Amino acid sequence: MIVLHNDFKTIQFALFFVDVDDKKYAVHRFMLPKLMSATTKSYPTRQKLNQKMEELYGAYIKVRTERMANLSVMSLVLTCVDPNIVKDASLLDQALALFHEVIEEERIFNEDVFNDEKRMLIEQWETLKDKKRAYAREQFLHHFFGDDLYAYPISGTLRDIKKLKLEDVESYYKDMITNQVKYIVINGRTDQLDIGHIERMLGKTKALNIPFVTTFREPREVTYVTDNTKMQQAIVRMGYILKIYRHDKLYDAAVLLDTILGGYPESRLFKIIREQEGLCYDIASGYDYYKGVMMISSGIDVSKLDHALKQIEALVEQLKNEGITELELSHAKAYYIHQLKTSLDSQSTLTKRAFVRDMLHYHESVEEKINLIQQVTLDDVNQAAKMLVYDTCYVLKGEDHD
Amino acid sequence: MIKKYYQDFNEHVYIIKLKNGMQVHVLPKDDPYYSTYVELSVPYGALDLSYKLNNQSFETPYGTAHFLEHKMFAMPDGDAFMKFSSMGLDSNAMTSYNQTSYLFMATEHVMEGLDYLLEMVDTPFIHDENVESEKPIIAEELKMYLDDPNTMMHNQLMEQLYHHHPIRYDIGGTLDSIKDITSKTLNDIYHAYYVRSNRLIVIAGKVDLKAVQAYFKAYEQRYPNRDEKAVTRYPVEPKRVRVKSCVEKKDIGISKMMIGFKLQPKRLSPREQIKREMVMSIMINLLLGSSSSMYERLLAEGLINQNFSVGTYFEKKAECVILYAESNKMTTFKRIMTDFLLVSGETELKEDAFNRYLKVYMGQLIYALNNVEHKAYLYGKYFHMKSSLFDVVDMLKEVTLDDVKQSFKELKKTNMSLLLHKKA
Repeated sequence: MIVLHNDFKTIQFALFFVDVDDKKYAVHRFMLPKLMSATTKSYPTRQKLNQKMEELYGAYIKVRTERMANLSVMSLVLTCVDPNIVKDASLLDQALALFHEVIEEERIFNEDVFNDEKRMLIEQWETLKDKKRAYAREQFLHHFFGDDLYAYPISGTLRDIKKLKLEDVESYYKDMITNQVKYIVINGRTDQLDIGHIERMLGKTKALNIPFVTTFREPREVTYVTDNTKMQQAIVRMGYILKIYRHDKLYDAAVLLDTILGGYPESRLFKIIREQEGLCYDIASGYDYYKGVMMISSGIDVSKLDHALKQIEALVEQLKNEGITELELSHAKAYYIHQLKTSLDSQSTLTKRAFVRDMLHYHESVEEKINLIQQVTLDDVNQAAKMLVYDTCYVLKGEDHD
Repeated sequence: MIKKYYQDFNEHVYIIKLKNGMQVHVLPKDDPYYSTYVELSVPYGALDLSYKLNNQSFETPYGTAHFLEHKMFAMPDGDAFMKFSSMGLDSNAMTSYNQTSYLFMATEHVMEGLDYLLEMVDTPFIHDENVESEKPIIAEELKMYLDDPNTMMHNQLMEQLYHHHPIRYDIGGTLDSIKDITSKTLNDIYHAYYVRSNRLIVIAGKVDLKAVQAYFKAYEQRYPNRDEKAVTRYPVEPKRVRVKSCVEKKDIGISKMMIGFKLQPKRLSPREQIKREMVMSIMINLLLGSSSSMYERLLAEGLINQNFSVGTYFEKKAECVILYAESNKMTTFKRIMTDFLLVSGETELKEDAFNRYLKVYMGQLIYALNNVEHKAYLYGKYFHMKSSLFDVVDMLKEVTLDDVKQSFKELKKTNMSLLLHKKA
């Protein structure tokens, strides 16, 4: 169990269940935390559980299923106000007892809730096209990642959802609770807590015993895909392969490259495509260090789409060929360090960070990390830039009326 | 400097009032803490379209406040947004119906950032050329919202509820209205509303109080005068809704409905007005929140999904309650909902649920205090409402179940408007 002590006004109890990412169980892992946090033995309906949460000053359980390289991570985080502020000594015991029931080995799931969740998930899929940006993202991931698991919807496909039965989820749950990797993090004013009691309620850590694998396919001929729909803008998503991963020497250089390309308002994409050319309102890049890819996204004026695509492609080529400046590097470093420090003031970020560091054995201190960032050279970033390989361009667009 | 301590939350507030009318409120957080959040706000937002200054009247296009927010970042030597980034600071700005805020988050160079924030707000660099070049960028921002069916529906419902009040238009304006915005419009607005006596600066997080005090002492010496500020005028708005019902067939995956209740604003003290907002919010959550019987029933009968939401809007001279649902059984949903909101719902306003919700309200306030950004934003919002974030708890103690029951009576068929986007 990881215990973080600080003076936030809330206390978090977090559980992380980890397994190898597998298409077969994607829908189970997406559905399970929703069902686990909807009812318990003492609170067998949603209404009863929600009423109990209200009694606990609006405590809430946030659930999430996500991918980290070849792993699937399912998290349940209970956040509750510090009992000292509301002067309710029994608050944490009540919250813990409730959270204990969420992960009880012999728990049962409410079939009505399962059917509701299944229906809502199906509706979410059936309405995906209404949400243009979410639809464009899904389509881009499909075309960019292809046969890789990252292309597979995190919720499973519509077919998976329709086929899912409660018995399947229950059987998966039993296996997960007894066998799977589990991390526990407690974060807040923990000096007042009985850690032994919490361990008895939430169980013990089961450390990662699965290889952590960061790979992706080789680059290919650039793939261009365009879909048309009724909309005002053109949503552009571009994928580049950047074979630098979280454990690599050039990792911090790649983060700085992302910052300089499209990570903040002083980035080249923002300055040139938005401010100089006036082609869009939003434009940004993002680096996935588990998959070794850099992605660009923007909502573009549809009448200037071709010009915008050429400009963005040329901008990246120029970055690769001519490199960055010392000034760009020093500003990006200041911004990266600022982001790092700011994240340490967020309770939820600290909770997740503690889990990731423990699981992947990252032990560097903040000072050491800052030192590593400061040591990145112009050559490091330019070397990373040269490794960018253009791979996929997806556009979802409306009609051009100009 | 005025010092205040709020024991319940262990929060200190230090207030500096400048002769020019500007106020600086500091909410420090002890080490170990890395970030400092600085926000400068003015009580000028999307609803301040028509105003009077020095006996002269002015009318401005929809979206002027948001446009000015974009242009405040223009500086003679380049873009302030980029300058903040180059200092390792995260800057941003927001325009709401009632205020505009400029902010940054810092872990180093706090005082340099503060100085630059004030330099930026003190330096309107707005001319024809940079106003014209901003128009396509803002147009793309508006189009981004126009591509979101929920934003479109919300805008449409506001147009159904209101005849003249500017709340019927999007905060950013329309693709047409922004064409009419000129450098003169923006410069006039700047001098009317961005006067120092309208400005509030909130600094939260890691702070060197002495440095802040010294900085504003020098700033006050540079700018000692208090300028006249504009007064916003609102059009007379009829009590009735403009359109009672509208049904449109759309190429969408599921039918969507919005129901709006136009409330009649009352002349109340700031404290009573905040309590009124609380009462209305508690009432609608007791009726349709996630712990209500009706919510449980709607889910069980497959009449709503996870996108169901209820909310209240309390803006200047415009108040309403809005409900949103997606459903494949819209006829049944509408029948149940209208009967519930207009007739039978009052029986659900019970003592136990009310007491529970008071705890939720208290909890939400504590959650907000956990995050400097959220805390500073709320602090500024309540300040511009002539109140204090930390007084909200006392106001909450004054709310009664009877107040909540009375508020239910404001949901009437005559002030209800319905918008249905039916799946084609």
